[in-house]
Amino acid sequence: MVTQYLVVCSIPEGALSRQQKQRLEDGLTKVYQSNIGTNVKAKFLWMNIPKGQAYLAAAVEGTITVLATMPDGLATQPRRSVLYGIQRLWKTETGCQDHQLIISAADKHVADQFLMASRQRPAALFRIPVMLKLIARLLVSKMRSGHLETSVNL
Amino acid sequence: MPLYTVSTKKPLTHDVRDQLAAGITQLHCDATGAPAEFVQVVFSFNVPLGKHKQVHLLGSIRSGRSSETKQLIISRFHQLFHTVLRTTEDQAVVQLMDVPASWVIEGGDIMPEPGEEAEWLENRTASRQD
Repeated sequence: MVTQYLVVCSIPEGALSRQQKQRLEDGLTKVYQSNIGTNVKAKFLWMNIPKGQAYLAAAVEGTITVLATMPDGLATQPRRSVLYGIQRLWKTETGCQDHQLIISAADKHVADQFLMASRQRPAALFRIPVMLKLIARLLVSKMRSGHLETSVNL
Repeated sequence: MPLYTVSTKKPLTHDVRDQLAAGITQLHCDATGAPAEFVQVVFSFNVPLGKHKQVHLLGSIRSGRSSETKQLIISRFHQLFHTVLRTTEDQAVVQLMDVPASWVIEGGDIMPEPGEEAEWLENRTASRQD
């Protein structure tokens, strides 16, 4: 049985081509399989950040954040290998600098808590419509670009 | 890390974003002693918050901060939102989540534990100069 792990990549809007995203998805899947097991698959969600909506050290900066979920309780060494593997891949594929790249390899239950907190920002009354809007966006993006993409703006 | 996501119902102007990003960065650094270059702030708009809510702040911070430090951060963020957005305490939601430093790469290296930043930054500067 194949276990899927979610990878959420937040990037400046328009920063990467469709081909770059595909190479990153393929490469990240290999990083997962080399360090966690051949029966795992990474599932990608691309989160676009419009210009001027991300800051680092209080200055507008086009930072990239990768949240890669890991099996709960993963040992330190494979987790480090995943982190550095993702870093190498991302720098090779995109040419980004160290200071522009933030990567988390979080236990699944912690990543789930974070994503749940994010999903619960809307008032209870609006959560289902927001979820439907998000699903519609993801389906359209999948048909148009082949990737699951949305925006930090709802 | 920390990563703070500021969510509002309507888009904020550049000026307000600048003020909030500067305020969040400053307050986090003052309360924790962390360097500003670790602090990331992202704005998310068109979020249908609760009826009386004006702003939601979700922060993931490195594990190891005391509950007093976290309470101080939360209280200062409420003050910041009051100053910049004119919100009352119940119109702003502030949520903090802990993430172990060893789970994160930032600036090219695995992040230091809270309190070990100076050595980490020194090593990084030295390795850049090599």
